[in-house]
Amino acid sequence: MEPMIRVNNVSVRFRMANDRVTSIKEYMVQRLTGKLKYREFEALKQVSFSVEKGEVVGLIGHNGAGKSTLLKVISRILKPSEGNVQVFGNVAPLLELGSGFDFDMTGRENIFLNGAILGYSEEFLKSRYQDIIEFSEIGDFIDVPLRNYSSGMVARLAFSVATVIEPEILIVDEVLSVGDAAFQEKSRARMMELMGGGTTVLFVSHSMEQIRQMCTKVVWMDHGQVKMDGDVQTVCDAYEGICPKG
Amino acid sequence: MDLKKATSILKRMAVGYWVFVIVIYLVAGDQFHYSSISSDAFSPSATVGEIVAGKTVYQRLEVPVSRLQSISLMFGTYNRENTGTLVIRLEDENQNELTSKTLDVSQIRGDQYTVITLDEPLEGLRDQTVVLTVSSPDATEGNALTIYAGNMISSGRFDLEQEIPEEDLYMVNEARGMAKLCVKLNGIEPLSFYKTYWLIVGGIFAAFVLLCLYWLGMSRKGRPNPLLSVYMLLTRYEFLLRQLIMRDFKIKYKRSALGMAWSILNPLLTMAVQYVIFSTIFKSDIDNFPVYLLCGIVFFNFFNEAVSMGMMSITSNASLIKKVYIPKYVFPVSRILSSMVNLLLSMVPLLLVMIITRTAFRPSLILVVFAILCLLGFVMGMGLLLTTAMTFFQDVQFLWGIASMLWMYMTPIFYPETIIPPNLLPLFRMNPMYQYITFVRTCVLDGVSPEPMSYLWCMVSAGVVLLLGIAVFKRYQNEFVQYL
Repeated sequence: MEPMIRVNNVSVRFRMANDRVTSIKEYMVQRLTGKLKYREFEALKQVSFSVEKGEVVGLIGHNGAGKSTLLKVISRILKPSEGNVQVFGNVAPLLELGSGFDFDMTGRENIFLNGAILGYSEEFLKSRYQDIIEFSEIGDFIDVPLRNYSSGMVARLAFSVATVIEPEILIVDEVLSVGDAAFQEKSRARMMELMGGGTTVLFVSHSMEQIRQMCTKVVWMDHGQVKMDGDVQTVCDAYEGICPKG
Repeated sequence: MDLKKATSILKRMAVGYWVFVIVIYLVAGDQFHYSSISSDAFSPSATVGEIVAGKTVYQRLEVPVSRLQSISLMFGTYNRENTGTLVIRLEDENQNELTSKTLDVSQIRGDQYTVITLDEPLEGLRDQTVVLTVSSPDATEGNALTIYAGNMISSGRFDLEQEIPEEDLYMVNEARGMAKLCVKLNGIEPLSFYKTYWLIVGGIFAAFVLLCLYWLGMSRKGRPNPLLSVYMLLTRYEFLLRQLIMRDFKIKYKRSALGMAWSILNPLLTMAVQYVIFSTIFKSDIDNFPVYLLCGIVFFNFFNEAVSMGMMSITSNASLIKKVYIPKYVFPVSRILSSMVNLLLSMVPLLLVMIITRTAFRPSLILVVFAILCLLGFVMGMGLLLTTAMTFFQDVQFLWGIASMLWMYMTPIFYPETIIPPNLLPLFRMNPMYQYITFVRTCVLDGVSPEPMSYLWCMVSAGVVLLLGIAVFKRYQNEFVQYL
């Protein structure tokens, strides 16, 4: 097995001022009175693990355990304070629905804009344009500004653009509840298709049912550290033993 | 493969650079070889009286140039038609005649400078003293001209009183006057700037080539090649940049009926309003006020719009930056480039007004491209600096509101440069926007290339601010996410 992601001793520290200082006046006042103290907040502490090609890794943990921070570090949005992350392949984030869309532009224009933001090339988008429209079931609305779409339509379009590519690494941050029941079924099928096609998936969810169903490996995060890391059954059982509600 | 593409782009850049350099040299040629110089003129406040036969007016003068081409004199006609002839002579200190010229009095118009071109330019008189004599062999009382004299030098709207040493006061026959004649000596001074020009241009190119070779050498040794990464940075996100620019542009006029036409109408209407308001105050001081005004409006508006938009680019795209990895420079750069598209569109009304006002289209118009490139660099630098500051301190947007207003009044957009007090002029010249707008106006209105120093100023101010902006942005960009 070849590794796709290798996380080596990653720590992320945020400098938190007493209160967030966002004005120069405040900054000067606090600096002069000597009240400007930074509290260090460690979002990730010495996290290490690796993901092999084709694995579907579930990230679990309570709120604030550092799951999203970890995903941000892996997708290069956040630079770790210590340690490093090696990623061998292109990463496709599944955007929170709607971000990256411009609601004054038509569906057609948004496919290109959002595609460009996700790092697709122009040729690729043009060649898969029909597939995106078909999958999203938008139909004639494609030349209508997004502000006239229903929220389900926006979500469907977003999902279609994001999954048209067959990325080597897909990051899914609790977005699998898209559109109506029929589309949800369709999108789950697409996800499974991607996973079957050798895509490595990092999957964050609070639904243990989903995790058990889809993942091949689970990483349990707790207070910025990896508490447990291993096969689905063992980790999920241990996790549910502590927080039975999930 | 990528390396090959990158080198071919570099080769094209090098060709473009030399084409540009040679075009500038050809268009600006004369300004690099000579500079035109005129001595300061006194404002008229008195006259020397009628110059009748037997009366000679003497004026001692210092020659300010190496090649003296013409003399400008301000005559007065007493508001009547005069006839006869007038003899203008230049003598050296030993009363040897250098040149003389006989004028037909009936052809001379009063109350303005009459340029008397010498038959042969006089060489080698620089910093030497000459004596100008004016006399008439045939003028009679009631049918003669006079010459104005004064003791104040006008600088724009301000008159500065001058101490005139006694030997510099004019003389009529043997009697000393109380002032100096209103006379200007005009000529050209040879410059060797063209040598410096080729030296600078060649130096920049040599440095560029050496850097490329160094980078190439590094990649041969298998080290990361900055050349390649710069190329990747530009091409990899080119599609995204294009999409973002298109979005900005489409959104701007999406819900307006006239759409893109606003980009053209906006500067025209602003000009119309300012023209109506200011034309009565400043018109007399400025030739072709509409074009003067439009040059200022178009370029300052670009600056203001691009910097304000660039400043907000990181904070307004916060939701994206937190969700997906995109190099952060993409946001300010795309914002500023979309303002740039707007600037290019507003060239249309500028050309339109130039045609309507019958402004001559001269080759120097090409040099506006140089000013635009410098301005773009300056604006990029400002945008990167301010957007960095803005991410950490939201106050910056309010401060910038005030600063940009002050900046606008500090730049001669609708007022003539002549109302700037002379002692404050050096301060105004430090303002890069003053430099760019003056540069454009010289190219468009005067139809000549600006003086060499202007090129240097424009390039240096743009370069310094751009490099500073890039350095600051690079240093802090990884911390943006924490503050959004």
